[in-house]
Amino acid sequence: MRRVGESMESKVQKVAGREVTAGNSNSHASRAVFGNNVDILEEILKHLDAKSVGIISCVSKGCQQAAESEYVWKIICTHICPSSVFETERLQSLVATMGGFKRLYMNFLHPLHSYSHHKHCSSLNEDVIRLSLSLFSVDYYERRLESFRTRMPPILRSIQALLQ
Amino acid sequence: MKRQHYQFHQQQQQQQQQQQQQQQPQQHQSSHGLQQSSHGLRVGAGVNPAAMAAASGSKGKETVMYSSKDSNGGMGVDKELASMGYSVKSSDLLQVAQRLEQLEMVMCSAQEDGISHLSSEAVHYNPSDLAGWIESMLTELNVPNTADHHLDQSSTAREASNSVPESSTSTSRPDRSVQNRVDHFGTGVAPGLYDGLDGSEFLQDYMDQMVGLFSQSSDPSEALLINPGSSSLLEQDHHQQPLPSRDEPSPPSTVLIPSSSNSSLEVQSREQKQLQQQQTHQHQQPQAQDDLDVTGGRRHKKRLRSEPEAERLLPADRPMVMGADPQESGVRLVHMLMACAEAVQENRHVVAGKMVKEIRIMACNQGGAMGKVATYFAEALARRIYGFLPQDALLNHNDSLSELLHIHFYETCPYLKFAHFTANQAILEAFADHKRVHVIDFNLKQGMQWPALIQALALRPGGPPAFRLTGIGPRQPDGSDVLQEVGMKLAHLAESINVEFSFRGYVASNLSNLKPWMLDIKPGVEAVAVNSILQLHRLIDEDPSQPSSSIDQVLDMVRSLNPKIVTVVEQEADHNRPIFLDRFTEALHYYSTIFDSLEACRLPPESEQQVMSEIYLGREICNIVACEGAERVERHEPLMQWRLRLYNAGFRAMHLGSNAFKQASMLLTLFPGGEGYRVEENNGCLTLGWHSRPLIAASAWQCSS
Repeated sequence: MRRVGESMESKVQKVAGREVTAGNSNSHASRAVFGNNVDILEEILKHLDAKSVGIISCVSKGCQQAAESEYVWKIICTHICPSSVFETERLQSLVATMGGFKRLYMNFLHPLHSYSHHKHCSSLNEDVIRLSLSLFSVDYYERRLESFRTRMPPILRSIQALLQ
Repeated sequence: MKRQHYQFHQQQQQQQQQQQQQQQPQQHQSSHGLQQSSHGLRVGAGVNPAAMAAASGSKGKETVMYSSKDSNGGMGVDKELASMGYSVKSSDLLQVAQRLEQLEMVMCSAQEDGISHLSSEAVHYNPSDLAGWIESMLTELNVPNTADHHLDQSSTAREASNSVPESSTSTSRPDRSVQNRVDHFGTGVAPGLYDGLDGSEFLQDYMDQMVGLFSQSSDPSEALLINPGSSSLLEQDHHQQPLPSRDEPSPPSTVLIPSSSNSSLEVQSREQKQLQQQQTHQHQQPQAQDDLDVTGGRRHKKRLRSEPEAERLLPADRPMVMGADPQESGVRLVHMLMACAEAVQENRHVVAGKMVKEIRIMACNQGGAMGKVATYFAEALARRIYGFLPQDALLNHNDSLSELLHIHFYETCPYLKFAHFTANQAILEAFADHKRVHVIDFNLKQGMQWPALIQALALRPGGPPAFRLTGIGPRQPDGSDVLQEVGMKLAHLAESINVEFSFRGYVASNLSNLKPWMLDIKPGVEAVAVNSILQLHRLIDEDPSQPSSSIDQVLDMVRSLNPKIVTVVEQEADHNRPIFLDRFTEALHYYSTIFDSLEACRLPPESEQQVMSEIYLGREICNIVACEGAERVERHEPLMQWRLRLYNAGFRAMHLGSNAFKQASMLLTLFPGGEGYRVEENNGCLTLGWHSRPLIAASAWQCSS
């Protein structure tokens, strides 16, 4: 389930690995273009798709800051699953609490959307969003349970020993 | 993989395909699970591509690849048979195999109208009724008949044995293909045993040879041997010549599969196993009248009493391939497991013990899903045989290890997620317009189900209700209060998304100890939902005739709460039969299917997730096979029985709705191997299964007025 999101992140990181050196020399340049005002960059980014935004976030720290913005990712989510529900205050605060639109998009909306796209059925948007949110909430809960799991190493180790 | 399936389709005769449509499944429910084992065999064992390619060759062509297992050079004794108590020379097997090939050639070239029907129709035989088969063949030769008995189960069986899971199950209906799998296990005699010219003599010759082979065996202490009584029955059949009855409506339960992927060596072993099973069946006939061997025990008895039907052999134009591909050993493994279970059923513990050891070795060699399933079943059988039962803690699934296994299984397979999300959807719909809601969870575990419901309630149009959760859990061996921890985590989550939340936990070793007053229901103020995920089957008592069994008490208690909705999710399996062998067979097929689906997840081998999920399932297997009485808590019952129980307890079913269906279908796309899963709607209940076998069923109920 997380594979799509992770593969995207890895791609982005590969690009980052190549460009980070370039980024350092360019940061001066990008600041010259945008100043310290990332809002303009956000306005530009919100018209792009997720992959481009990921690539741009590798260019410089300013760009990364802009690309991480929830505003941009919320727009991206709306692009992929058009629905008025994204505008509701409740949903936005809920998603923000649970980890943000970017995570919602990468791990749940994007993989599920390819399913509804495959089915050529736009009315599935609401269902896709609902299921994504459900899975997202479980994911949030599991992350908070992580602390429970880290108490397990001794048992894990003994199981692995048994498996050898 | 589809390619291979198509190739086999090419090989099948037109009539068989047509007849396949007509034939009605009549096998009883126990054989339902049987079709799954071949999934396990196929997927776990893999398919020998060379064999497949050879099989798809032109009709009448024979491809023979000699088995690498025959390393004795024909001088020694066949090892597998030796383990069963027979000492048979491999060279003898080879000779008979060659003669069978000759027969096939003759069969192919037969042009006479009188026997052309023999080359075009499928025949099905009961693997445990070798006497009847011989009898029917002899009568066939003497009284050639022209009635058409389509038994294209052979074709589906061939598909089953040779093609990938997806293709075969799509074409065969469950009940019929069940038989095919059964037959596939038990038979495998090559086609072409008829020869219009001198077939009858050859047949007699062949039969004598087979009997001769068996009579060479020694070691009288093992009941696997031919006993004089059975062989006399065999000879007796030779002399009988009743007219074959054509009107037998029930489908024959065996298939003589043309060996596109069978080695004739395998053929021989299966023959011998057939005979052995035949013996054991006749042996146990007086002892266990109600021991219905799923491989056709019922039919076997019918045969002994009634006349055998006319049955045809499969078209003899299949190439025969001898190869030691894993599929064969998978089939053999299943056969050994069944034979061992039979031995256990008949309390022949010495024999069973030896077989279990063999099975363990074979399972290690097998690998794949089938090997793993076989390992777990062998271990469970060993525990049963030697009386070494797991400790209490293991059974009650209380400890932190169990929780860990549960979490891994939750992540790896969609079954639990399906259960949770479907139940949540039903509860959400039932709670529409209520301002105060109360959910009672019969086993809270880690509370993985509830974040999604809390979130959905938070975002519902009218605003979130006040949500109250009562979690019930078993006593922890180390005395820690897991319920309270989970409650706190859920409270934290609810608070962060602005849902009014309250939690109460109850520790109860048995759900029947729970009383309504403990739950502090506020009737009229709050809407109550009761949620039971894989918990109700634990309450079923050993002796159902008891006046107030746990399950009835609990259902009455639930009824008295007057809930708005009761969500019940249970395994779709029949693992509570009174007879051990039936349970074993059912469980073997059920868990083979689940392991297949695990295999399809394509996780890195020996990864923590995969192994943990397997151990989780292995515990269930152990409980079903090795435990008895109060310790056997995994008493799975099929959906039909649950419907009856709940109906009798005063509930009526609620339809789950299309939203739940859509959600489940979408959920499956997130799982690798998701194409194999099937969500089906069954009279308002949803089932999730692997290919055509439903594995878990979710249903919703409300009180009937």
